[in-house]
Amino acid sequence: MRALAIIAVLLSFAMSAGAADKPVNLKVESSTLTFKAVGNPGFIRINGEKGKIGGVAVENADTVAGTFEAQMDDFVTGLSLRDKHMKEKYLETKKYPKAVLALAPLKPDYGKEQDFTGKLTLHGVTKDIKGKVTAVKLDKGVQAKGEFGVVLEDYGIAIPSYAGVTVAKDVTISFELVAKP
Amino acid sequence: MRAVILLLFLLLVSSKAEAFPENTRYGYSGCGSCHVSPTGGGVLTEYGKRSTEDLLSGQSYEKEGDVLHNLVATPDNIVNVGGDIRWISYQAYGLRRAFLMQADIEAATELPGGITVAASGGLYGKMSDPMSRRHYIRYQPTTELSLRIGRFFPAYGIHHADHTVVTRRSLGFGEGRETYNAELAYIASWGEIFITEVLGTDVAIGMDNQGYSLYSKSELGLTARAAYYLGESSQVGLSLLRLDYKKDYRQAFGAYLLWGLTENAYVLAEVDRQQTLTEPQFIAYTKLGVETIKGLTVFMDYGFDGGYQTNLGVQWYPRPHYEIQASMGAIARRLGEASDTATLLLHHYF
Repeated sequence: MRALAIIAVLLSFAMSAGAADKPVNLKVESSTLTFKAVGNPGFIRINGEKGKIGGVAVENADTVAGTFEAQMDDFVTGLSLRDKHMKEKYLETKKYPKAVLALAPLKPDYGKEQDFTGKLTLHGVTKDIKGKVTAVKLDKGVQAKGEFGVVLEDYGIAIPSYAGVTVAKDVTISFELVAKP
Repeated sequence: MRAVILLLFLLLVSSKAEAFPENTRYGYSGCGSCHVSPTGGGVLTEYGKRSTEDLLSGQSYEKEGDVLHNLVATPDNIVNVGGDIRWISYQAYGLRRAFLMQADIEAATELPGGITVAASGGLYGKMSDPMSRRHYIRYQPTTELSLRIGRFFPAYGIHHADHTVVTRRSLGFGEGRETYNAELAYIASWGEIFITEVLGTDVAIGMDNQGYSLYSKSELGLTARAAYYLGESSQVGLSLLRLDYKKDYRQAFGAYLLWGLTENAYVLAEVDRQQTLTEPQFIAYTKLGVETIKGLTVFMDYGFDGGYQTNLGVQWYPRPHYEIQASMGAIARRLGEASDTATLLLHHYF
């Protein structure tokens, strides 16, 4: 009887240890995705808003990786004709409707800002990126907030110019998301 | 007859508009995206025309902000042309005055080598002869740096479209008070600095109880304004002014705030202290505006310069090229009696 009890305890330990090692998929349930650029003359702030993130983060024993995507047509900047130019002439959203970020395995340090790396596919071109992220562990899932920069020329995107205002080549992309099992 | 012909011509050609410091709330910290002039006001750039359609107006169709509402094809980007026709009805102290306040046109063109030339001309108030209130040449060797010489308002405080605002009128920046200047401007992503040598002017228009009149005065001196952009939609600035006229002088310093509360609400505020040969003067102005529906803003303002001036009103941009503004309020001149006021402004900018 005593031996059975010991076996049962060992089995439960073994099962829980196995559960911890098993990858957990965290699906993005809510998000905001924005970009910021500067246009000249006048150094106007061009804010791209209403972007959304889809995808799944995979939580392993001590790392998180994942693939996230955004529909480029979702972005708006406040001027409808400028948006049309941005999507048709520069981002070519019909040809390249999605941007995809493959997050390299990251050992999360919850509650602290940390560096992350990954591969961003934008406008049909894939490049390595580096950024900053702060993740917070929730009861169920993870909340993450961060940003990274892209250089438009790196992705084969011509420097946008609209009605005499030219956008600087450096664009900052900010994100916030909640992902849950 | 000459004036009628000029007005018809103005209606048929081109876009010009007054300054819109409240557009800081959209992330438009500087004026140079929408206006040819780096301090705002006057002829619009191509981008400015697009902004009147998408940001300013209640409704619009594509390129409605263009010449003749884009009903007639015109060559692009050779010369920017614009103008303003403003009619006002103003009632105070038991008197009502209604008159054509402004009918002018401004043209600007970019030349090779970073040079821009702009000039305006038209009729103002009761003046019967056309005159040019603004004309300048600007050299911009880099994105940030520019040098401008000519006639225009020197940079000081908030460049309100309404010239009767106390921080404009009491500091000598009222209607028709443009001076000849040499301006050095540095505009960057963090803020902007303007240093202006005021070279004076001989002819100016002033408004008094009898309406507009021509007078001559020539102040010489210096103004400086520096602004720092706060986040995406606000900025703070400091201004200095020292102007001398014969044995008289005035100097002023002040601070201002352009605060975008949301994309639909803003606060403009400015405080200045002006010292003249005889006395110091405290001048302050604040305005709260809330865009309740697209193109329609309800505003409330209060100005103090010894007397006071306050208004509650609406400003409506139904479509590109048109502005209607109506307000009621009160005014008290310094050491004078108070009066209720009522103002109706019809503005066609093109």
